[in-house]
Amino acid sequence: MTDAQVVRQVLAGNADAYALLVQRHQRTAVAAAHHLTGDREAARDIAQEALVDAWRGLGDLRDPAKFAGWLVGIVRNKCRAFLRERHTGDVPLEDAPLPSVDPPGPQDGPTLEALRMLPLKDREILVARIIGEMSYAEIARSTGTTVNNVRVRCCRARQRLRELMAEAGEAGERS
Amino acid sequence: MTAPQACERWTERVSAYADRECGPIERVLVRMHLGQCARCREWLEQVRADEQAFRAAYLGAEDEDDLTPAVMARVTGETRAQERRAARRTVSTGRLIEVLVVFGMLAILAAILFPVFARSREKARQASCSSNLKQLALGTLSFAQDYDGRLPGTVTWRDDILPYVQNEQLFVCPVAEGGPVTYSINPLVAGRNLKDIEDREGTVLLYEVDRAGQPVFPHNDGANFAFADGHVKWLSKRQAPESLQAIGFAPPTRNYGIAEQLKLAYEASIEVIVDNLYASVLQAEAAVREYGGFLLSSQLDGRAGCASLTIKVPTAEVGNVINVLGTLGFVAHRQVTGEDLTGGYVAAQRTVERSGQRAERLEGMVQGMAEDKPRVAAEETLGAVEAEGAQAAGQAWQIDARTTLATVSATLLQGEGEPQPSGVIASFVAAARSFWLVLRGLGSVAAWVIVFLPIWGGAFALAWWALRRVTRPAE
Repeated sequence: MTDAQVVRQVLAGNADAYALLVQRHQRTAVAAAHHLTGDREAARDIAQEALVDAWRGLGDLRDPAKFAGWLVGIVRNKCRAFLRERHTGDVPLEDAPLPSVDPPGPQDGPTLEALRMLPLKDREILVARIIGEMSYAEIARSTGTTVNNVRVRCCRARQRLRELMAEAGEAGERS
Repeated sequence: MTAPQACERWTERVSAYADRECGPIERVLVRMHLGQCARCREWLEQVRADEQAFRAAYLGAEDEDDLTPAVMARVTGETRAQERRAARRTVSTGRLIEVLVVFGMLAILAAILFPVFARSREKARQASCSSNLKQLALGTLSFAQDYDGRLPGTVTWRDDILPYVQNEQLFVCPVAEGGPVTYSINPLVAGRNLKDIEDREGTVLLYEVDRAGQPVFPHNDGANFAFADGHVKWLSKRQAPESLQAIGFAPPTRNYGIAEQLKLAYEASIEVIVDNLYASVLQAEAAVREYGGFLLSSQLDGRAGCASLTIKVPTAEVGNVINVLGTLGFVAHRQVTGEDLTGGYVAAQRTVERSGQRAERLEGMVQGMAEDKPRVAAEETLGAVEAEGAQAAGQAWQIDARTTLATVSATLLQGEGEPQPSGVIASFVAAARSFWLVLRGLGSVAAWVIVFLPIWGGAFALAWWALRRVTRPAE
C-alpha cells in the first residue's frame, strides 16, 4: 500500500492506518530532527510532535504521495522553533554552526561531524534532499525560494561539507 | 577533496545530475563532459558516496525506540475526543429540536383543547341556566293552575311565582360575560289564560333578558327558552327570531295587583332594511290598518331608497305593529320608549272630581244669595273652580289620548338583498349545514373529540416519542 493510499484511508476515518505511516517515516523524521538540532533526545520529541501535527493537518496535504517531504518540512519548522528558543548568540541563527549537544559517539563518522559544522540553511537543504528525498521544486516551495537557488545552495553545501571533511581529516592526521 | 577549478562551471551541474534534477539536454551534456573529465567523474563519485554515507549514518543511528505507540496513543486519544465533541454537538442539537417539537405539539394541543374547554364551561353554564328556566316555568304554570289558568302579569311575575320556586337565585342566569342576565315572562301571554293559548308547545313562556329587558343570547350565540307546555330548549340566534317574533314587545294592558288606571304613553321607532321598498310600504300600511291604527304621514323616496312612515296605533297593539314591521326585512334599529303618566292622570282626575264637588257647593250657595257683593264674589269663585276643573279635565283627556294611541316612526331602507345560492351549490350548502347541525347535536365536546381524534392520536404519539428521546440518557 502506497503512502497516498494510506493517507486517503486515514482521511476517510481509519485513524489506525496512520500507524503504517508512522512506522515508515518515523526514522526519517527523527533523523531530520537530529540532524537539524544536534540533540538526540530533543529530536525524538520533535519527531513525535511533528508526526502528531502531520496527522492533525493531514487534510491540508495537497499531494498524498509526497507525505515524507511534507513531514520533513514540519520537522524543519519545529526544529527552527526549537533552535530559536535555545539560540542566544550574536551570530544569526541561519549561519550558526550546530552546538555540540550529543557527545560524539562511535557511530558518528567524519561525514556527520562535518555536517554539524554546516550553517542551518545548508543543513536544511541537505537534510530535505537526502533524508526527506524532496525534489528541488519541493524544497524551493517549502523554504520559499526558487529552484535555481536551491540547486546552487545544494551544490555549495556539498562543497562546504567536503571542505569540512577534508579539514577534519587533516586535523586527525596531525593529531 | 574539492571540485577542480577548471571544471568549476560543471560542479553545480554534476551536483544536480547526481540529484536527478537536470533537464534532458543538460543531462546529455553532463554525460559527455563526464566522459572527458576525470575530475568531474571523481566529484560525482564523491557526491554519491557522501550521500550514501550520510543516509546510512543517520538512518542507522536512529534505530532506537519505536515512536509508533506514543504517536498512535495521542492520535487515538484525540480521535476519541473529537468523536465525543461531535457526538455531544449532535446530541445537543438533536435534543434542542426534540424539545422544540414537544413544545410545538403542546402548543397545538393547547390551541385545540382550550376552545373546547371554554365551550365546555359555557355548556355547563347553559345547562345551569336551562335548569333555572325549567323550575321557573314550572312555578309559573303552578301559579296558573292555582288561579284558574291565568298566567302572572309582566310586572308581578317575579313576586307571583317566588312562593312556588322558593329561591331567588333562580332568577339570575349564571352567564360569565355580558351580565347580569335575568329572565322575563313573554308579555304576549302574561295575564292571559292558559286555555287561550292554542299552541303551547310553540309559544314562548319565559326568555332571557338583559338589564334593559331586551332579549339576549348569552350561551354560545344562542339562548334558552321556556315554552308554555313547560319544556326548555336552547335556540341559536339564527333560529330565535321566529320565537322572538312571538315575544316582541307589548305594553302591559292589564296589570293585576298594581293599578287599574295605569296610564303609559309609548313612542316607538324602527328602522328596517327591506328588499322591495314599495311592496314593504304597502305591507306596512296594511298591517297598521289591520291593528286598528292609521297612517299619520307616509313619505316614499324611491331614488333615495327610503320611506318614512309615522303611524298611530292603539297602545295595546304597538307591540304587534312593531313585530310585523320587523318581519318586512332586516331590523337595523328598534327603540321603544314609554312614559308613565299615571301620576298626572290620577291627579287631574282628582282635581276634576274636587272641582266638581266645590262647584256644586258654590252653585247652591249662589242660588240662595241675594244679588249683592257676596254673591258676585261667590260667582267669581265658582267660575274659577269650574275653570280649574275644566283645565284638569283637559289634562286628563290629553293624557288619555296619549296613552290610548302610540306613535310609531318607521323607516324602511332599500337593501341589496342576500344572493341566494342555487342548484348544486344550494344542495351542497344545505348538506353542509345539516352535517354541521348534526355535529352540534352530538354535543360540542364529543364532536371535537371525534373530529380531532386522529390528530390527537398522532400528536400524542409524536410527543411521547420525543419525550422518550429526551429522557433517554446520553451515550
